[in-house]
Amino acid sequence: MTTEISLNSDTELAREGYLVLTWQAADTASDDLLLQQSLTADFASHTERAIPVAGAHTLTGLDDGVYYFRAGTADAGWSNTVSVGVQHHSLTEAWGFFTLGLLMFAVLCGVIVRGAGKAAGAQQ
Amino acid sequence: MTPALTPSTALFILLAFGLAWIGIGYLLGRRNRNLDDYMLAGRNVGLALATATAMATWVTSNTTMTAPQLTYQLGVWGMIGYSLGAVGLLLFAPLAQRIKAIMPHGFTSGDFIRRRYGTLSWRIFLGVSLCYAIGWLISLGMAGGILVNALSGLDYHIGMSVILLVCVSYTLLGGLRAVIATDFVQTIIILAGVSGIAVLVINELGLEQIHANLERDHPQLLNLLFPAALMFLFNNLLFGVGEIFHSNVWWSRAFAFRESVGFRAYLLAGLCWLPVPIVAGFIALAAPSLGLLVPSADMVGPLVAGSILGGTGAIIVFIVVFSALASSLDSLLAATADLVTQDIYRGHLRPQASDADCLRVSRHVIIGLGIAAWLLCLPRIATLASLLYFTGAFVASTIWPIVFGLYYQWPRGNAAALAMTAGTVLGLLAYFLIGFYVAALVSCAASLLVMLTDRWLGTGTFNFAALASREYSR
Repeated sequence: MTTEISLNSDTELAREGYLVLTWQAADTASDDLLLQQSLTADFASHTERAIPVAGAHTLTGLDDGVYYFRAGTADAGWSNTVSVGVQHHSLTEAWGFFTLGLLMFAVLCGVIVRGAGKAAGAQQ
Repeated sequence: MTPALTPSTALFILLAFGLAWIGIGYLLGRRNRNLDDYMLAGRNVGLALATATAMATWVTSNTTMTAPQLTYQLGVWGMIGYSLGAVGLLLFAPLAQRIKAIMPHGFTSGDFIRRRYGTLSWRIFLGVSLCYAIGWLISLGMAGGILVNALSGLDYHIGMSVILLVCVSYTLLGGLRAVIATDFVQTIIILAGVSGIAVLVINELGLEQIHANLERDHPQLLNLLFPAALMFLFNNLLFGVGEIFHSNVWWSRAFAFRESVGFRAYLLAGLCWLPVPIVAGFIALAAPSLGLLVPSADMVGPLVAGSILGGTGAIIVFIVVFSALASSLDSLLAATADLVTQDIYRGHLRPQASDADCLRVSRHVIIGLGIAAWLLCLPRIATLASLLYFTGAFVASTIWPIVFGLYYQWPRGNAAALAMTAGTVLGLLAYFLIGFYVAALVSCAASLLVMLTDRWLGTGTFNFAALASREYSR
């Protein structure tokens, strides 16, 4: 028996290496499905895991690349293939924000220490 | 996947602890005689209670649920970055001392902004502060529903409603005195529970297995050069600083603590808080080893604990997170009610209102806030982290006007107003254009730029003695 299964992702491009997949099988009488993940569209090489007939899963910590997903079984048939690109922010951009934050933190500490010292001096 | 708890067990725990908190609220509420007692616990809180309430309030459901979420999404830096939230408490220690010294009769953070910077800045600050308070309230209510749902399968709406009802009830009955007393008990439960869970997770799975699974399936979580996580690190620090520096939750405690207690209490609370998110976040790294399906990243903490530790572990997690949640929700309700009563009712609508009027209105406001939070929690609009960090754009804009305004005479009212507005707008732009992990950072930078420009353009001559007097008749 072929089951109609729909699979969706919350994004087509993940800049932080995480994404959420949701799926729903029309025929809820069928057994658990498989969720397959591959780096190629033909799923020649893939990893898989058992999933219920409807649900969601958050994948995190993925490296740069294009990932392909499908849900189903050989008997029940496969869902649409979902592809998601993972492209992390550049390290230049990341270090830029890191440095900006570090600078502001240093200024903040300096302002408070100096202000508290001045206030203590004024009280005396 | 079968939930670790039955819905009836979850409801029983909710009701048992809920009734205990409400009982404490009722008993302590009977000792309240006036507005100072109700809003500020008589301005006489000692070091032990002061430290416990500061710490318990900062260990929120966000610490116990968002720290695992951020670890699951951003890896090791997510965990460490979240713990940098302790810096906010540490840096607030000298500010608390200064606040108590220059405003011995103050009630709210809004009082300071109005008297220091004038009406325009005050109104903008109230907008920022209320947006944050509502965002935090929603995240706490949502966390309650998510927790109950993840561990017992009980409908999200039922858990969220019961938790809000319990917290509104005991805050209403006991005011800040009840909030502080329950915080003390909740701190002990949280620290013991979180430590116990982490030890059990390590014993059950072993660090090697956790590491091997992460390396294979989630390599970026172990990457110390994970770009989004690097961007998140100081963003979270500044977000925490913004939350604490502006929020009346922390100012009301600075007013409530006995003289000379504030500095030591906030310092100790910060040091004790520092390891909590690391311990709480760590358990999320076990999710891949367990082969768990994680429907939403903010459910990962309870899911891992429930999966590894079974029914008993799930009960511990449930009690710990419920305590963490209640300890923050009650504080936020009390402090936001103070802000609305003092700054909107008395400040804008009825300046001649007596303390008795304000006490009555404050109770109505607590109920109103509870209802508003419940309505806004009904649709589950976002994950906890994305909702929480949305408010980062607002609060980080207030850091510089508050710090400069507390210590220096030169900042002027219009500059403070512009700093908060520019920071918020640019922070929100960054949130939508780049990601939640830079909103506070950009907001803080824009606000600093405006304040430094004001310093460069001219010099104000504010007289701090003007803050010392009592404003309202009793």
